[in-house]
Amino acid sequence: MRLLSLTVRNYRIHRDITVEFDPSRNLIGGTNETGKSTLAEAIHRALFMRHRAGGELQQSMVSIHGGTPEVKLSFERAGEIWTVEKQFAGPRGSARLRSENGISLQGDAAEEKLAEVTGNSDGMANRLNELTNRWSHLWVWQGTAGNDASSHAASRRDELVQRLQQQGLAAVMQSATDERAREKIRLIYDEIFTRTGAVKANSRLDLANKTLADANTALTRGIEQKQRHESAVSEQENASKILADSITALPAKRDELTAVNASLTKANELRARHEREELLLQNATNNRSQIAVADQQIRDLLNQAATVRETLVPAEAKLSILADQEKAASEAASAAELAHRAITDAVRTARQHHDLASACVSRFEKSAAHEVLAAKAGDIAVIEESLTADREALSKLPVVTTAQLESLRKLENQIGQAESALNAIAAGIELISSDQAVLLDGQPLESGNPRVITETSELTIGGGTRLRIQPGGGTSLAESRRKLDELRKKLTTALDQLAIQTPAEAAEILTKRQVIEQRISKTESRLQDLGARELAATLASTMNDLTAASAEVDHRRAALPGDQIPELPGSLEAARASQIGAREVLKKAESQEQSLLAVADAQRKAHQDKIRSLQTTRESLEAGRKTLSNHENSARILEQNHGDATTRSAALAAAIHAETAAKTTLDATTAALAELNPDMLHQQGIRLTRVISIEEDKQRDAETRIAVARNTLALDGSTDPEAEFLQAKARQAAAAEEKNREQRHADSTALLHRLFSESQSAISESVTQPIADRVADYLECLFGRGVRVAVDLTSPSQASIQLTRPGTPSFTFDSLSGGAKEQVAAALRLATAEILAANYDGGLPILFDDAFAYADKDRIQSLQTMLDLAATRGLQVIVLTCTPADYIGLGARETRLTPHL
Amino acid sequence: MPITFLHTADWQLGKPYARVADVTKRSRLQNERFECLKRIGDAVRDYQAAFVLVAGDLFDSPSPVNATVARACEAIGRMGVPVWVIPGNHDHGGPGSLWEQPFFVSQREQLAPNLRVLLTPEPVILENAVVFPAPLLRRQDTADPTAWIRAAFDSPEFPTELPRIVLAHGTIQGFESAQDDEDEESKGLNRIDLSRLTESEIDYIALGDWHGTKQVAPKAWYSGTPEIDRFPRGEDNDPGNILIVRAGRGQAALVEKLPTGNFRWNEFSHRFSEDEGFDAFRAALDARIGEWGQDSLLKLSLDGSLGIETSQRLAELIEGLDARLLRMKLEDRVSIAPTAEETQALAKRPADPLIESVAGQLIAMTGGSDAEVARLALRELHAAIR
Repeated sequence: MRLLSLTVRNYRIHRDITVEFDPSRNLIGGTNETGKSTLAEAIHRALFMRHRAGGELQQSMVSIHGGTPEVKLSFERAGEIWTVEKQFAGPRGSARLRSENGISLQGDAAEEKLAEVTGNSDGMANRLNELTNRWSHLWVWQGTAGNDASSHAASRRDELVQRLQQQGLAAVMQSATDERAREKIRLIYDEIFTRTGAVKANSRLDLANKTLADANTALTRGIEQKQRHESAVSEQENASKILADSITALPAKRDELTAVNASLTKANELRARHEREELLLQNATNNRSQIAVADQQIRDLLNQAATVRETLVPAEAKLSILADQEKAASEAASAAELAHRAITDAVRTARQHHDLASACVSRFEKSAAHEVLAAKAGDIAVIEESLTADREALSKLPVVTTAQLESLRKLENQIGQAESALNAIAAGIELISSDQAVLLDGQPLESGNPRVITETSELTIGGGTRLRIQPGGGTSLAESRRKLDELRKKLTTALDQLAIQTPAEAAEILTKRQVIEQRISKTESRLQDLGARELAATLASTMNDLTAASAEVDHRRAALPGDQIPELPGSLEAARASQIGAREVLKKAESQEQSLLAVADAQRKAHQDKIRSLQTTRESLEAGRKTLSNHENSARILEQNHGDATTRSAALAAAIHAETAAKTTLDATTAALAELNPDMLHQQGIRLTRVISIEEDKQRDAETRIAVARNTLALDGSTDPEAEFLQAKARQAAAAEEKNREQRHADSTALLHRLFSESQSAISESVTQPIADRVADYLECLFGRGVRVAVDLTSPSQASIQLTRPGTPSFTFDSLSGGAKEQVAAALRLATAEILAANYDGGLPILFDDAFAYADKDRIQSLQTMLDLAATRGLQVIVLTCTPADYIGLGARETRLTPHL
Repeated sequence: MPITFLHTADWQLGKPYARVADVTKRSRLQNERFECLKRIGDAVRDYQAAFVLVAGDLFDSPSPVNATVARACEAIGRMGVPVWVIPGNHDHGGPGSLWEQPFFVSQREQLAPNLRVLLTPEPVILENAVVFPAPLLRRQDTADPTAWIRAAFDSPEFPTELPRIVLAHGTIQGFESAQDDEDEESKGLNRIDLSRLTESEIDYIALGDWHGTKQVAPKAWYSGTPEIDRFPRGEDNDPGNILIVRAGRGQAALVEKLPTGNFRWNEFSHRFSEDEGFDAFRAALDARIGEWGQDSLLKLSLDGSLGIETSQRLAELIEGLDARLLRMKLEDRVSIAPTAEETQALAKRPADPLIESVAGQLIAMTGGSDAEVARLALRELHAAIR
């Protein structure tokens, strides 16, 4: 079926418009409000709206231009051309259908035939909601392009199945019986399982599981109870056995312990006796020992006294000899001392004489030295007078140095040279004669006294003549004159400084000064040589020396005894001879004194030695006597305590006897104790006490265990644990069987449910797969190769479409973007239309009203490829767009609508 | 001088019958064990028995409830003659055993002064016999409880005219009660070696434990249980009796078997090979049970395979029997194998492609590892499309 032409009159915006259709590709372009959608609606209503439909449906079609809305649509169906004309005027509306083969029908008959020809089994629609269902899969109204088209396809499911089967494809459809059976199984399944396939709470399987779990618990409890009972039996048996064994064994152990304890008591008694006897023996031993020690001490003391007494006899003899020797030595020492004292006085007198002689020598020597120095002082005084005169003469002369003289002479030369240079340049003026006063620069110019003019000068002659004379040479003259003046000034200054008149005078003074200075220098040098500077001090010193020497002589002389005072020498030589004689005398006396002193020292020392020997011997003798006295006293005191030798001997014998007796008694007790072996007895006691304690504990423990076991085993007779165990076992077996039965039933139900679902999917797929394949063909134009599509058309409410692109997870229609939704929906519509077109001579119109609003330009290009593929496969594609330029690539017949004025 | 006495054992009073789920039925089974004691009492009187020997397991448990103890004492008390009892493995002696519980002691004194419990392995000289008891003092013992008896004859001081009777509970080669009990495990313990006993010194050996009546040696008998308590195993197993014994010193004992059981314990096995045989099976089963359904216990062992429809009928039959019988122990190994028609009806449904697909897959699975689940699923699917 293909549309051929459409004419619309008085329909909304359109007054009268005709559109011719291409069998394959059509483009109706126009800006907004040019009536594109009205044309889409007009075709649809011509085919599906009852001509007499009224109300809002009809009112909405009324034109702004007035008149009755009219639509005339020509189409080709099964090789025949049909034209339907409808006037929508409510009850007054009309319909007419004509074919080129002469069929012409009006009113309802026309519409019935139209429905038949167009395969519209639902008939003409009176209301908008009915109308929108017609060809909803082929007519994409503006604003609905993004809706999921799978529900439209699903509503055509039967038609699709029929169509596919006619094409020889294995498309099948489940029957009502199928559905009933599936539903029954589903209900059974839902009783057992939840949506996620888990066992539903309180389902029979769930209850069977719970019952089994409870039964298992009860059985476990039963087994435990049974085991407790059996354990108690075993416990009572074991404990009874232990108790019996212990009761049998214990008395013997108790008897053993009693015997051991008796032995231990005896051992303790023996041990106490042993201690006592040990003490007694100790006492006897001590007594015997004390007596023996005292006896020995007494005998030792007596022996020692005898020995000391023997040593005292020779010591006393020696003391007597030593006393005599000491006396002799004392006398010898006194004699030597007297001899030495006599020679000492002789030495002293000799020294006094010698010292006086020496002092005389010294006085003569000092006196001579003083005289020499006094003479020298006279010479120096004469020289110093001439030196003073020279110095005075020099001081009266101006101080002129050789350098100063040189400087003055140099200035004098320079002045000479400067005068010569000036005279050479300057003008000379000489008055030869004049009758009038001639003044040069105010100074009278006298004849014969020429003057040199070195600067501008005024010459006045008489009272009325004034001449100005300007010497030649310019500035050189002035310079020479200034230089001369400077030199003269310098010379004058230099002379003034020296307070002389001429340089010649300076030369004379310089000569005089040099002579005097030379003489002074010579005199000073001579004074230096004579030691003039130190002479005064030296002279004073010698005077002092002389005075001291004289005093010494007097002093020495006075020291001598009056009878021995010698005559003083008159000269130095005599003094020196006297000194030498005195020295000889002194030397001799000193030698004698030295030897006599040595003799006196030796005698004194010998005497001291004798005194010490005597003292030592005397002390030794005293010590011996004291020791003897001590020994004798000690022995006496001891004998007073211990008796004499006979008494002591008897006492010692008695003590030895007592000691021996005590030892014998102790040895007997020790042997008896060793025989009992108390250590071992003690260990045995401990061991037996422990054994008895353990056995008693064991008995108590066994009795407790028996009591506990008896308590456990005591039956109150209200229940029979054995029977309960058997019941629990049986219930568990029954529950397990029931659970298995329910499990088998659940398994078989689940299996059936799964097989139904899978089979239903397979059946569904037999219909949907051909559609999905075609959708994929179209979508490959948009998204490239590899696009996979899954379509579920089970029912319009469940219908859905899913896409998978290479390398990405599948996504649902709802997750697509707005543009992709439009395009995928279009592909599904094209695929559905393509299959259904077989019922319409291989062709069906499919209309897109502004259906790709979200597509960008690139996508519109690929959309045209998709639409072109649909056209190639027999569909009559009609695209309504406000941007017709974008669809040039479709190669469609274009109708361009223009805005109505 | 020969005497007559009753030899019985394995009363197992208080047996819980735990595997019987229905409380009323369980109660009937428990009650019948006491009812049986009345029949034993009748036999005492009928045969003028001098005493009754109970060779162990008077009670089912070493710790029966008071009601069981009291009722047992009352029933024994009514027998009027001495009843000599040894503990068996179920009601063994030893520490904490029921025999020393104050309640039992007082009930025995009050209700059954004729009841004598032999707890010590030593000869008991009665007025008319010498009894050699072999009491079990624990549930399981590796030692032969009769071992002491041989030594007892080393210094014989027993009255020469009195018959000598051994009273023992345990297993001899090939006969052990635990073998056929649902709740017991065979451990091969409490073994009695009859060859140890000098035959000439003994006149009768009264044994307990094996629940069938059986002579196991010239002088040795198992009396069996007087009221059947389990599905008997083996062809010559003959439970539900007591023995009336006439014995004298040096004489061969005369032993008479007296049936005392009430309930009917049946075993029925069948193998299904084709669905057509189901009706015949049903008829045979009906014939076996007859009119005693309410007093019957049935161990039903089924094998083979059935179609979906017939297996459903079998399930319904079993459900009915389970309700009707005192107890049914079912060993159902019947597998579901859809018949050719059923397979056709499920798997050839061009109009119902979904069912056809599912059924086809299930049928394929019946040859695999999930066969049982697949068969059940087929039955469920079959039910769903009915």
